[in-house]
Amino acid sequence: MLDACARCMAAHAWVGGGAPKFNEALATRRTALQAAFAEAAQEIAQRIRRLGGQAHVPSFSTSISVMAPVPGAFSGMDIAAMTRMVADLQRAGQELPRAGQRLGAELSALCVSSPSVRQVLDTGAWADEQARDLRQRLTTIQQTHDVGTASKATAAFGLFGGHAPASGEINRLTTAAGKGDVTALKTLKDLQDTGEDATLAGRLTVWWRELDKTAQDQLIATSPGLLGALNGLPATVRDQANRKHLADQKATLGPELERLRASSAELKKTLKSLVEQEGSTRDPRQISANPVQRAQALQALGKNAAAIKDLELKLRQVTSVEKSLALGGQNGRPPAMLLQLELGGLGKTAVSFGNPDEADNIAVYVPGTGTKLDGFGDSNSDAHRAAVTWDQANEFRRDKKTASIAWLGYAAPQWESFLEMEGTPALDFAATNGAPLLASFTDGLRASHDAASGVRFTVLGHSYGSTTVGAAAQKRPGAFADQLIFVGSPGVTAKEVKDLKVGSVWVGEAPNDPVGDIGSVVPALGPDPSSGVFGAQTFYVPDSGDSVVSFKGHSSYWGDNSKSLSNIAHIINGDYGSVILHAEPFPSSTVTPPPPTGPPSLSLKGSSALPTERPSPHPQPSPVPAGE
Amino acid sequence: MINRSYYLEGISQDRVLEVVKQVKQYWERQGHYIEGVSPNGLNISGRSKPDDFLLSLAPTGPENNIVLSLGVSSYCIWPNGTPEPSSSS
Repeated sequence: MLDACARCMAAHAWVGGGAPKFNEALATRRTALQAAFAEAAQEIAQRIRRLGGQAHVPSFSTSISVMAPVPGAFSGMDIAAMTRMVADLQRAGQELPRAGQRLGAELSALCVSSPSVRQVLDTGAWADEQARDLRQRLTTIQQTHDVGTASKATAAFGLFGGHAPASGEINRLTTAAGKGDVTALKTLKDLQDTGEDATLAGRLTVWWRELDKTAQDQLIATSPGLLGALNGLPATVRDQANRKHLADQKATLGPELERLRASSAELKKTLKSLVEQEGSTRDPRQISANPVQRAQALQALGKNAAAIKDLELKLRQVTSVEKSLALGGQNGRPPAMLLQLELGGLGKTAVSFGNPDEADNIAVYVPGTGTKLDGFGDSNSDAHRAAVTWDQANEFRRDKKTASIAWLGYAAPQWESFLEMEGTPALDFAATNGAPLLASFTDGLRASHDAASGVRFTVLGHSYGSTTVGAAAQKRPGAFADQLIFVGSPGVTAKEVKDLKVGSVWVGEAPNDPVGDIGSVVPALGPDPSSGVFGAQTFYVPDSGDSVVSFKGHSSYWGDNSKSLSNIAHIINGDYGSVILHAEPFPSSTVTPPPPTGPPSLSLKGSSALPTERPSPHPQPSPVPAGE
Repeated sequence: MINRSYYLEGISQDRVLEVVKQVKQYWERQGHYIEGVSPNGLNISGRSKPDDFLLSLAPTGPENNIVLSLGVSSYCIWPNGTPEPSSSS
């Protein structure tokens, strides 16, 4: 009777979380139960034989083909199937005690005692208890899912949450956070940033979904920046929280800046009058007090200046984010969603065009050296690249939903920090530090995606961003993304493509991009992924015509109507047949066109082809390189 | 840069590949350089001679309903003529 349950679990155990443990427990119980019945039957048979009769012991073992759990494309946990399984367990919980009692009666009638009875009764009790727990969880899931399938995260942690490993600490934190404990929330974020637990995002998906609306609203209201950064939460929630955080910051930064500027103006006046006094007075008390007052004023001015600089930076970052968000909702694009926001220092953000939780195709763009939040939204800069990527992918496949994300969730190396170990583009430290943050972010996208639809997930790394992507992929072997695209890459910290354990890896390098060749000169970042030895699939990127030393070729991958951008879009859409893989060899002799045989206009005989002008962007000035 | 693009509507699916071939042949006959062709033959990149404009033909839409997009882009030219050098760098 536990066979049906076991078969169901065998099919679902690979979702992870508590499922394997439950599957194990179920298997153990089942085996023990069968052994118990078998033993009892043996006893009875022996008894019968001893009394001179014939007895044939029936077989109690049934086999269930259990394959090693192999994660496949998860199309959603069938809630109906799970409900049936819970019902089976419940029935087992009711019938086993009866069977145990009956067995006990039979055995005692034959004057046989057996531990089998205890085993049967225990199994019945276990089944009943499990059925109760699962039924409760299933009801919660059904209340929050209006579709018949539930996500993998829900299966792993929502249904089998009681069996999930290492639950204790995380459960404690999420429970506390749900009650408004900000320290717990911060600890969860810190845990997330270590990138150590690939299952954390899934747990947070379930946690958020099971939280009641009041608690959710409270968290958004009181800790929007922290909450909006949690991977695994729905994109709409992150967007709401981060936009609130943006508004809150803007509201306080401005007045604070005014206050400090006014304070500095006052201090300057004080200093001026002190200096004048010093010159004109002969009062000895004044003469000795003056330098101290002057020093105090100078110190205060110094402190103000540092604070003012920081506020001005943050306000510039706010403007950058606003410019990035403004790219959404126009030119036919969906609204932009703010998936992360951290002001100050180099800054952090993630902006998505299109909702990644509902998308058929997701692309995450990771930028490289010199990228920071201030300037992120400038024309031809990072947010713009993600936006035009959306445009191109959508133009090619209007039948599919696209989400194109620009991610700056790590501290990109900076040219000013060339001599600093952690911040230099010449070493892999920035990539190694950024890898867990990126891995965590992709965990979140996978966990919060609607289960009912399949998704093609691409991560695109540009320049040093590709180094970070390579490092992150190796932190989640076989579970990072469906495909990677590297453009202008100096090396991806892997020796060959199979080290990345990603199904499909594409490399594009503009002929006039010198960064792509650095791999052969600076070995610290790994070999050049566009080389044959590395083994990735290369695709064609046209020469932009700019000189190599201008470095403009390094930023040409997203050029208006460039074949590079269209190749990238075809890859994101999975239309590999349409990707131009290499340049045709230039004809060695000059070609003289033969005299045209008919009218020189473009003729498409036999078809009524009517050229219709498609909306094209207004002519732009030539692109300015925006960071490498 | 300046660009123009057009959708070639009204081509039945069984004629799409042939149309692409005709466009490619026309460009070649005009002396332009075909820079690249995708494996399915539908995505073509070219450079016009002598102006070195980018020529492009690409498939849009799902496999059973392909609509070709034809485009031309110029490179960094000043649409209103070369301006006088300015004092700012």
